Amino acid sequence: MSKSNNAILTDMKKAKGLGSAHHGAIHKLQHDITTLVNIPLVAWVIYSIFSLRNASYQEFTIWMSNPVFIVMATLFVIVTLKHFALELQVVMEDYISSKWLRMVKVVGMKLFFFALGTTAIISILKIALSGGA
Amino acid sequence: MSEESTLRERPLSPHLQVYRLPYNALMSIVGRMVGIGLCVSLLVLLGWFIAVVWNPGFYTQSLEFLNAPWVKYIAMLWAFSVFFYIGNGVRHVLWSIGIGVNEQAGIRTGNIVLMLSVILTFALWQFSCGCWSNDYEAAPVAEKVKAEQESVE
Repeated sequence: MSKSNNAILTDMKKAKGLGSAHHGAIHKLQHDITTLVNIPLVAWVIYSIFSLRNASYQEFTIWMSNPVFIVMATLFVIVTLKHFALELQVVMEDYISSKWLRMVKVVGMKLFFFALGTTAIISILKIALSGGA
Repeated sequence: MSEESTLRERPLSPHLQVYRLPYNALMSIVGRMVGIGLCVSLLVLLGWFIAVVWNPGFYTQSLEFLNAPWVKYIAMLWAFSVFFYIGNGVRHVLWSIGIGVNEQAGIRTGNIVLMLSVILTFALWQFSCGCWSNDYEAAPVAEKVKAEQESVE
């Protein structure tokens, strides 16, 4: 293959998006970091869920107006949704062969996670700012 | 004659339905399926939390469901999945660093993760025995919460 031909092929590959996207490393790195950061957050969430078993609504709101809850819950929502967005993106890219369907699903999933995360954080703030009332 | 025998005796490529996955491949696909399941559980958890914050009456309603005797087994299965998934995630982090990237190490770390998940689930079971009273029928928490809410109003 001549040099010029190779150059044309490479450009075409880039144009079609078939070559390396050159951002796989950051995806993997974020996935790994969110895994590690999640360990204390998930431990705390499991502790909360199993401690609040059989709790009354008042006990529940007292727990939720605790500053530790506000910080941990907000971090938990952000980090887990980020982690699963990365996870599901990989799953979708592995198993959905149609390019457009894949793109729609990945973008739709991320937008949905963004909306859900925002709603969850606003809910946490509502409890925090209303003093657990 | 020859045509028939060649048609019958063709070797098949290892197809998913007839191919028994080796340990590491099995752990890999189970890890991914557990991840998707946990993602769904996270959506349910956040949805429940949002619903409870904006509609406190839903807390009482959901307690009636959550006090069903079988829910604690689902919760334990969920906890086991979380421990397994995080353990698996740590394995992935170690592989990223370059530790344990071979078949034997994969089997060893996979077994460690499985054993740790079982131990942690058992520990959680022991811990939560105090939270789980045995007599749901005798003292339904939902009734208690209803009474408290009425007294507040």
